[in-house]
Amino acid sequence: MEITIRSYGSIADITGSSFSLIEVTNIENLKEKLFETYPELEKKVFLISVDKKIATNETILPNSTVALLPPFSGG
Amino acid sequence: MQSKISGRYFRQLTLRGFGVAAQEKLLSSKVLVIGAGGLGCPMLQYLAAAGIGTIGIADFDKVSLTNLHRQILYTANDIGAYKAEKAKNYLLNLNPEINIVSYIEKISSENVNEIISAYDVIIDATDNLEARYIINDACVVLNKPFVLGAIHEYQGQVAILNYSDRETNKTVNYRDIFPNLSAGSELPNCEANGVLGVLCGIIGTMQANEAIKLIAGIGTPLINKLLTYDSLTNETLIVELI
Repeated sequence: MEITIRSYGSIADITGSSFSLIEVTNIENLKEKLFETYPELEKKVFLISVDKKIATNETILPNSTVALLPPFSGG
Repeated sequence: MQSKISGRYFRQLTLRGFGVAAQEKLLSSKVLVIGAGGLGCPMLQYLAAAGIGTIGIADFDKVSLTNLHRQILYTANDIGAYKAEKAKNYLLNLNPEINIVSYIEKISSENVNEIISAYDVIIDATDNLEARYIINDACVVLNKPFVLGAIHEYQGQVAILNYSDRETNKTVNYRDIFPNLSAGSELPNCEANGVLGVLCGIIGTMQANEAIKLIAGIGTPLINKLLTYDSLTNETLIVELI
């Protein structure tokens, strides 16, 4: 299953603002695939949202909308 | 009963769903704005004009030339002057019927509790994560709602944190969503990455709007929700944090 992921802020500098991953079924293997594809993300702090809700480890992703949201710092 | 509310608020008093009751809530409220920079300048103008009864402004910095493209309370004549003082003077001219308190101090773990304890709503308009964690932690200890606002290049974030959600009776704070960053992982600020003044205006004004909604009890404030706005595409994502 292919899912599309939107990245924001400094995460988009690494992944681009939108990208796809295949064979993702839950948050745990989403993270594994993210870090495998973009090792720089391992050092980053960001929250993962699935269908506009903060994701927990149990969340499954059937055709879900996923976003990677880091903290912003400027003001 | 005949209201004694000033005629300056007439156009918002007549707004459906607002009225005298909401205006009285604003007039009796105390809001602290930490940071009188890009986010702080627009929000302070709207909060003062709307009749927030007491506004605290905390900023230790002085006006510089590179501030003027986005920090719209200040003019070229203000360069070198303390922002908190200049902002206070401007806002008292705008609305002499409210109280404004300035704090020319850097918010630290030593002074934060004393400063925020006098206020009902705390608005974060700082430009760095260190200050944000200090303010967040004090809001958690003192049980104050924390209106977050921050910018990265063309994008901005807004949220109301540390406020009990009526339906779930749960709260979420900044450390819950973004655990403490390790040393050396400080994020770039506007100084390093640049910013368009108008995005500060949009995000700062959204924060003011959320604070007003929260105090007046209108609409659906962003309680326990993180809004991300992209000014290049106008896309908005609202994520539930609980």
